[in-house]
Amino acid sequence: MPFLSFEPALSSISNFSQRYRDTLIEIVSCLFIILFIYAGLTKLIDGHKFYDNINNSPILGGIIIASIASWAIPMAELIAAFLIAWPKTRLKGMYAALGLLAIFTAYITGILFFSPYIPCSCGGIIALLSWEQHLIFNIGCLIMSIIGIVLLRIKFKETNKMENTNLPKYQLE
Amino acid sequence: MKTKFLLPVLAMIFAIGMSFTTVNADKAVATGFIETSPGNWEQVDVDCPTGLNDCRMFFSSEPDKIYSVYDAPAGNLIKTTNQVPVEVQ
Repeated sequence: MPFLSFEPALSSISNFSQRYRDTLIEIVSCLFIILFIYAGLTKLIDGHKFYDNINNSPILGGIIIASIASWAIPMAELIAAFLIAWPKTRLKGMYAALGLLAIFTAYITGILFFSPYIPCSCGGIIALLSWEQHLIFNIGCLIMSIIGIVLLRIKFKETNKMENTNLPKYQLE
Repeated sequence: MKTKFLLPVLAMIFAIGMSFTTVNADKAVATGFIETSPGNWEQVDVDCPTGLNDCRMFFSSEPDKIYSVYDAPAGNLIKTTNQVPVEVQ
């Protein structure tokens, strides 16, 4: 797992944040819940606009991709948001968020550096950002998701350590 | 147990409300392209309901520059009912 190699490097951060770890996890989770529910719902409500944007995209384009993406992407965002909201599936939700953000960042990078023209980023609050600003925003969210994943994994490790001590069974339940 | 779900639920309610307030679902817009300089095309969203007149637009920051709106880069002019150029923020 690639993130295991990051944990020693981030151990100093985790020591500092141990007191605030749970708070940090809650903040990151709430931010992603807001981000993905807002993004997913706006794409579903304004489906025609999102479909047109994908259909006219200089990189993707095409009716088939637009038809699939106009449903798949908002549903994936909403599922990721619900996974993050439920504490038991929060880590899975964070991995889903990381995957989605990686895809979106790759798309923005493709638009900025490889496309013949720059399309408009129309719709919603995030439309106020330029493509370059959107790229920086996505990279920031990617870093946040990585931090969330590392903190959750550390928390689960410590929880498992406590459960493996020789406590009577009734005290663990 | 209750506090574990309070913040996520509040975040969800906030996001749902925000998404409904920022979406202009009833706005009739067409995705078009303008040639900002020879060979350079830019995608824009303009309110050009289908009609017989050429769809034209200008940016609020440059009211003197009127652009014709096409359905694709170097494509066909979009036809609209508008007789005056559409202002785009």
